[in-house]
Amino acid sequence: MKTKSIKDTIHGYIQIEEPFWRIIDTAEFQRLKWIEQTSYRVLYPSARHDRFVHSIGVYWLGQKAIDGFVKNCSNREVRVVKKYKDSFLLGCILHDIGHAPFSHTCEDLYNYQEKINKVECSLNSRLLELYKKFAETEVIYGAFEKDYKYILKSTDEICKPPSEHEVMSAIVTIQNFSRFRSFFEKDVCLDLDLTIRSILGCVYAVNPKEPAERKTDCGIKNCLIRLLNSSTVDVDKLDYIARDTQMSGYDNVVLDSERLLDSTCCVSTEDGVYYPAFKKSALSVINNVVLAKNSQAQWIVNHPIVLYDAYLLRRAIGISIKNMYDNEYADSEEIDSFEELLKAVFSCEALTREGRWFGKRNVSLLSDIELLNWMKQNIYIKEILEYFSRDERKSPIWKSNEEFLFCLDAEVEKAKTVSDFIMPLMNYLNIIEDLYLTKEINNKLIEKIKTEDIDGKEELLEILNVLISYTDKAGNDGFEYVILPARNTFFTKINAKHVYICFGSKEQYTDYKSIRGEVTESNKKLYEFFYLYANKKTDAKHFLSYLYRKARACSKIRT
Amino acid sequence: MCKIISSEVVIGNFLLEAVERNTFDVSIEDMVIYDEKLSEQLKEHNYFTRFNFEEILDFKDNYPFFVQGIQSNYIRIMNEMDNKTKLKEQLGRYFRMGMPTLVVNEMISASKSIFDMG
Repeated sequence: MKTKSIKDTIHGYIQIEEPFWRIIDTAEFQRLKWIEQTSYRVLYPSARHDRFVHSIGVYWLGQKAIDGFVKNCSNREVRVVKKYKDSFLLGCILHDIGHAPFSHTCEDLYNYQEKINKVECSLNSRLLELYKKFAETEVIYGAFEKDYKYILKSTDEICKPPSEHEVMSAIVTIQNFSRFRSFFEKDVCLDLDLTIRSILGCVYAVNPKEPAERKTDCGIKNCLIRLLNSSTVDVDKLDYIARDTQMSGYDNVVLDSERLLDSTCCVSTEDGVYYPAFKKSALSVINNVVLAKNSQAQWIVNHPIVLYDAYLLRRAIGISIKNMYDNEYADSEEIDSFEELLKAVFSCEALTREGRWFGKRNVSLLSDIELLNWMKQNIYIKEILEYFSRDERKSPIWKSNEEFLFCLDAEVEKAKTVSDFIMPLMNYLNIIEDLYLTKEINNKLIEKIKTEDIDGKEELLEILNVLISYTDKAGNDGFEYVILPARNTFFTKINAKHVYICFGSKEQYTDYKSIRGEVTESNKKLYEFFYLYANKKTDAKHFLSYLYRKARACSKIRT
Repeated sequence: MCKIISSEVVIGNFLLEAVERNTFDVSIEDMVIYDEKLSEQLKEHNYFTRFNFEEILDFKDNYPFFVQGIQSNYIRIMNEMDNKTKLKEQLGRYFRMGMPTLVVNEMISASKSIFDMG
């Protein structure tokens, strides 16, 4: 089989087999070059990587996982792994092919107004309708439909509903499967069912009473699915943690993926259910995955600058599309509302090369580029200019939970008092999302609230007056703000109960939780944390002392 | 323009309604039904909820001062303060104040059909 080599910053030389580099060459896959992987560039300017390189990285790690299986599993299991290898790798390379522009910032716009865990939602209906036409047999479709509906409703901690981009990636895969299939030799086994299940994290239901051969077949397929998409350790996580860290330049824990994947194997429980597992030599790497993810969450993902940038971006996108609707479609019969235009933009058709037409406009291979162009057309709008111009931006008054607490004399009770005082304002501004309405805290907002029917209106106005009346040490006033909720406790959502470690033979295994304890932050969260961004620089200690005094004076705050 | 209500508000208000009725163990199944009823009622006013089960686990992590634990199909509400009035005020401040009255009324109405049945 012909292969091509790509030099990757993270993994070194990546060997790509011909069918897969032909998939990479398609327009649908090349689109990922213009989907930024993270929102970290505002903090780490070097974090300029995209979904394209990440998908190739996951494909490479998928190959490594297969190699590990072949080395560590029984002959019977290896035969099954080899049979499904290409289907699994197809899932690896295509797992993000349906990603929205700006990745997770816009992901929920695929399914706006709807819930992803409802079967009836348009994204799920579309997936099921499409797969019904393409599934190899009715039996295969029937089993998929049943298992998929199960994970949508699941309260099981190891099975969870897919996210919007996963469903969209599955849809794009099905739509293009015939073409992708033609890149492989005719005798290659390509199981579309396994590929889309891998992308969605939708395991096969296995009846313990089934014959051993069928249990092994399904069991190994489930191992492959979990190796790509699960709440445990998977190749997707391994690539993005390493890539996001290294590309940012952030000094995180190093992940030795090769060591981990070299130890990949599987275990089967007493009733014959298979799970992927790792040999004991991988323990240190698993521990590092947990540490690295926690660290990334705490110091990058939840950094106030990153949060604010995402807020501005989302608002800028909402305002731009609203303006597009008002200027081009308000009088048209084709698009009835802003919501409908949003759905048209973030649709399956808009990801294709043919695109989606609405009026005279065609959007195809939707990426960051289109949204940036629309935003630039509206750059005269203050909120959009603030996204493009760093010197127009508000800045966070404090930059971490630690600083927040320090400014309140390191007294948790004071932090609780301030947090409790602010909560109604957080509710008003952040709990109900309006995509294009401004959330600035200023006199205009006070006037607006006075005209609305709000629970606890007087309290809300009191909080706003406190903020707007603030004068800094030098006596400057005229402060305006934005408030965003934030996290101050971080624990990795890796399901330690289902990460299995083998000590010796296959029968000698246990789960990670049993030997390492619960993978949670030891400090319990004691108060709701937030960031406040102001239009003028101010001393955080001075500001928080003022806020605490005012909060304390409010009779309804707990003491 | 549609408005999306976060899962936290749905869960928080459900817990508030439970505490109003001196109930400190709430069924997750009831919470799911509550969200479905609420969703239906709010659709008319162009509001939507995004609640799903995973958010319950997040809620417990994010508000350990309100949730003591989750056991099988139940959520145990923290009653450390042993002061129902204070707990209600806190829940109200965190999840109700600042919300449109229209939404609050629908939440109260949806909860009645769950808690006051039978």
